[in-house]
Amino acid sequence: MINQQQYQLNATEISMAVIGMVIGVGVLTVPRNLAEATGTADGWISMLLSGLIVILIVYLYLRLQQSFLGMTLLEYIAQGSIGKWLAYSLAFFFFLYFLCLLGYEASLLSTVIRLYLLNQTPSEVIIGSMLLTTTYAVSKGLQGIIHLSLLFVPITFIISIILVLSNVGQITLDAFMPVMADGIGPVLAGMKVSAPSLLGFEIIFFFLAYTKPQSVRALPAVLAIAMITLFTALVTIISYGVFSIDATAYITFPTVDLAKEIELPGSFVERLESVFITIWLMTLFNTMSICHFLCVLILKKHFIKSKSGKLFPSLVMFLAFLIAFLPYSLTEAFLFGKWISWLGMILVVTSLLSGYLTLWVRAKRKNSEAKAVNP
Amino acid sequence: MHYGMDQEQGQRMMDTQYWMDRLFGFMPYRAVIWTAIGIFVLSEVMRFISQWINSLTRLPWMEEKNELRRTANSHAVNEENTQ
Repeated sequence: MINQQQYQLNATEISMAVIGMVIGVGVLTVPRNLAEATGTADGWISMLLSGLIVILIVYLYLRLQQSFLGMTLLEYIAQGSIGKWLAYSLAFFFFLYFLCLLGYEASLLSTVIRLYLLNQTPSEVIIGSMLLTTTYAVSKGLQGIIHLSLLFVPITFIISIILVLSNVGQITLDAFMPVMADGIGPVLAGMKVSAPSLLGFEIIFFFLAYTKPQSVRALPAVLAIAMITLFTALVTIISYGVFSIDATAYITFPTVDLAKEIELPGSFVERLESVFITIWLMTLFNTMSICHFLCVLILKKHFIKSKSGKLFPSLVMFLAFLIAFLPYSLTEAFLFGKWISWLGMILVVTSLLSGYLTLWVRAKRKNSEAKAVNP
Repeated sequence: MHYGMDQEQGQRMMDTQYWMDRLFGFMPYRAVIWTAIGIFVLSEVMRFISQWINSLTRLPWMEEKNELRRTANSHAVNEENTQ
């Protein structure tokens, strides 16, 4: 039997988990959101700029993590008397964030599956079976979750790129000219929707605690973010090129419709969107199982300090199932997703600032103590 | 107003209904709540059965403490060999 408690991740495994987590629901809707927000073809520039900001955040966090190897950020903050309460509140909001994200992804999963694959199957059955599967994945611990990412991410990433690139022949470049015709304003407006689509990298706040000390390096995580940014920018460019900006703003899931547009010579195979949805399901399963795992981990580490916590995965599944049915329509679901994104961004910034502040205060205290001993 | 109620009772019930809707109106349908309870119970029953079968079929070498002891022993033997 493999000892799950002592399992340590390496840099590649962390990168794969980040890719698996970030490519979730966002990739299906990001071209539409960007087209709505910018109104011009400059959405891809917003995407690249957001990618740069996320890379900077990841780099800053990895520098911070080197000061407390083997601990999560929240555990590090919780070591002080004031920090304990800050860590409690951050843990609570992170739990809420991952729980809502799990419910939201389950909700959109059911919508997409009912739209494109199984239109007669009730949502309860789709969401229930997916959540039961993630509960089983969570029962295998960190090692199980990470190995699932290692298994699925290369397949999904490569096939998605092939499917998206199959549309290159239909692109008309006129839609992109001139670049930034309306100035920087639309690009900045687009960043409000492109930055949340890259959320998911915050799993490093938790997973880096289980990483080998020599693997706490910025480069692999930065490369993972760069790959996802380029992929999402590519999807946006191809959507605009194939459908035009105005049409993209009205398509609910432009990325799925891109797969629909693929025409193979001889028309032997049609409806490739079913293939795309099947592949996308694998990556969504990664995202959902990581969210589920992190909810259980936060509960175990910060609230109910139990070594086994055997009931937690089922409890999280129960709550996520209810949350998945809170939005009554697709519009409400997207609004809910927007709130979750804002919560995620606030949490990322607050955690990073709290981490650096804690580090600064402790370093200052250490210096003053050292001066008091050796004046 | 419901049959057999006076105006005051009807008003009170409407107020209660109003506040129930305001407080719990966001909750999903009852069928969803029952399904959630159902899959929770299913998950726990499956976990219990799986644990029970595991405990029945577990052999001494599979236990974590024995695995740790075995790893420690093999490290010690390796160190002796290198010395």
